Amino acid sequence: MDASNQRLVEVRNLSVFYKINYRLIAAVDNVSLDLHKGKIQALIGESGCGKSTLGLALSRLLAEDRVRYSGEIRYKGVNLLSLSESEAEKFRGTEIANIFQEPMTCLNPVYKVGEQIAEAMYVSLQRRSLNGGDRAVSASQNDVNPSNVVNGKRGRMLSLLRRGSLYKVFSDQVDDLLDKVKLPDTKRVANMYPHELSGGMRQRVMIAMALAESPSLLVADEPTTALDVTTQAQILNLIRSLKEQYNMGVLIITHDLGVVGSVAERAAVMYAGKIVEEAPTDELFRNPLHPYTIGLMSSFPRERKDAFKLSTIPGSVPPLGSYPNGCRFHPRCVRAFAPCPKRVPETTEVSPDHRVACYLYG
Amino acid sequence: MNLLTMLKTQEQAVDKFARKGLVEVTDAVKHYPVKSDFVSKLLRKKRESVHALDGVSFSIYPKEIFAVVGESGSGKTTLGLAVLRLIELSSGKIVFGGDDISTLPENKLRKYRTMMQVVFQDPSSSLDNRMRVVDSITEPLIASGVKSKAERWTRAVEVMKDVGLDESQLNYFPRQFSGGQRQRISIARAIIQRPKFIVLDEPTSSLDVSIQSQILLLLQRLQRDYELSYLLITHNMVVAKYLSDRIAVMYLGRIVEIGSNVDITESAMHPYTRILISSVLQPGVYKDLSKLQIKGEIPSAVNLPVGCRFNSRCPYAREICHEKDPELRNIDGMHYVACHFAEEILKRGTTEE
Repeated sequence: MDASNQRLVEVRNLSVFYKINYRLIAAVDNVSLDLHKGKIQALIGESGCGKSTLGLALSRLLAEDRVRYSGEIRYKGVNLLSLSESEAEKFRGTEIANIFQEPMTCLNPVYKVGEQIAEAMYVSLQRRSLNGGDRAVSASQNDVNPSNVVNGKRGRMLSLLRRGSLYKVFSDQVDDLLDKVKLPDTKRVANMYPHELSGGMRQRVMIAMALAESPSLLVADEPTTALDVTTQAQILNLIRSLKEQYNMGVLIITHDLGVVGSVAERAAVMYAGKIVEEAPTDELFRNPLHPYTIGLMSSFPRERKDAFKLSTIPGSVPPLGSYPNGCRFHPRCVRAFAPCPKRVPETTEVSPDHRVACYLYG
Repeated sequence: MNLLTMLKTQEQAVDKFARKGLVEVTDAVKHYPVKSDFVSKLLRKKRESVHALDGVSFSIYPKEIFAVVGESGSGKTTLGLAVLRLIELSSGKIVFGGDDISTLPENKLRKYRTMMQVVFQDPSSSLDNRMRVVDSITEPLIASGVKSKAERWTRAVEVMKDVGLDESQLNYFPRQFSGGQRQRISIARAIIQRPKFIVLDEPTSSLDVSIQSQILLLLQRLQRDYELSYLLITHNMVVAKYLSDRIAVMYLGRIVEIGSNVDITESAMHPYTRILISSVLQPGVYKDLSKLQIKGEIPSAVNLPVGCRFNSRCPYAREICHEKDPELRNIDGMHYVACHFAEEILKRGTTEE
């Protein structure tokens, strides 16, 4: 199939500015990225490089009074950035869903898990009926008819129904979702509070909530960073298999190069607000070109300590707003030369599908 | 010839002396009682407790980096705090430099405190935000009675250089530093008293990849220069493999396998160790995650499984594993493992991989 048909989201020259002390500071600077249907794209970077900002911008989750955008995020022919807040609301969650690093802070501690997932289902049905109604009807055919809850007496019902009874309305779908994320004993889990679950189970619940609206893009921001290694492997495996089932596009945002190799088809490396290199994962690991990518890979400890072999990148990531001129990596770069401090290097395609922004390859 | 054998026996004698542990922990047990409710009190039910440590024994030799690896909830942090007597053990013995310190009162313990230090995971919470760096770093000196301010300043300048920071930054506040630099400050504070032994509790987990490697190198260099012993607590097998001489793997308050770095990383015999190693994701190495054999998560430390503690998640578990708790038994040299089928698993593992 033609690659362009599979393109789900096209990010074009996106910049995200934060308003800090009456200045606009670009946390994401002129980034272009394609996300494909049924593919997992990784976004690699250290803290402060703008990777989370980019993830949040995709579903317009940033506080809009303190943020300015330029560029485009095209999704199904619509520029998400040009939408009004109420229009964006219809996309958020329904089309593009987010999961985050620390599931405990994303779940409401005083409601049972099942109720929270049911709420997500309720909201999704409500939105779908607003979006056009046809999908809401098809979703309602297979059960007692929760869409009546939504369509008929919408609004009034929400105030009448306590969340506990929302779970009763949607219990079959919620159990089904919990089963999809491989939680055992779904009825019991649905009746538990978040604090009764382990970290891995909580992340599974978060994923279930995201799936409640069967989104076509899942943005996972450091989904396994707070988890143990064995749990991490299980969650990553789950995300992979759900991607197949739902034919979703997935954007995994991570600082862990290890996660990338076993999960993502494509990877982009971000540094100080810019994508410095992008390639299919195999290609990126086999043939890293940007000095930053090379540095990241070689600072990953592999062997025993003999002879202090571990190499490092000197210095640390510059703080937001005090990025150096020219190539932003040049003060830390071992191969920096004359043009680097002067102008930002253009992104060039060195081989098909492998793009890098560095004067060494210009 | 005669001289040679003499030298050799002497060497062995020295070696034997050196092999005497700097820190020796015997049968450490720590149970945290769970708050019981009114009804169970009325019924005189036996009070439940969290078994954070359940009979842990090991020694750390001088100049050795000893890593303790395990998932969260395995008791590794409790162990680190207990060794320093920052928490009290329920039972067990801790010997430091030949002296039993497990029951020493606080005033007598002070002498030992200067010889053992700790670096925690998150430097932004282990440094006081309102104290200048110099005050944070030299506070241990005040505690141990260095009265001269000038001397404290020179010592602070020294350690700042040791950890790769500039002395001009001594009057800064922690917020003016990046995460990696803050971790350097906590390391400086740990080494200012020239200790013999440092507990490193996840020293690199909160840092970025490129910073992590800088800190690992720093720790390595300090260990060599000051002949330190480390107790490295980590969940990251890669860090343990890179830095340590010996590794102990903990699961639910017990050591399930202990041995030299090579024993553990190359011929691990406990299924849990093998799973930990195989769950490590390396950049550039594709791993088929669906083939991983681990199920579920670490069970609660209140209601421990009967028999082997790992039986609920073990792909090799058989009947005996649900009945009999395996002892930590010697395989060869320094390699001990607590599994009924260790040999078989090693054989099977190597043919499968």
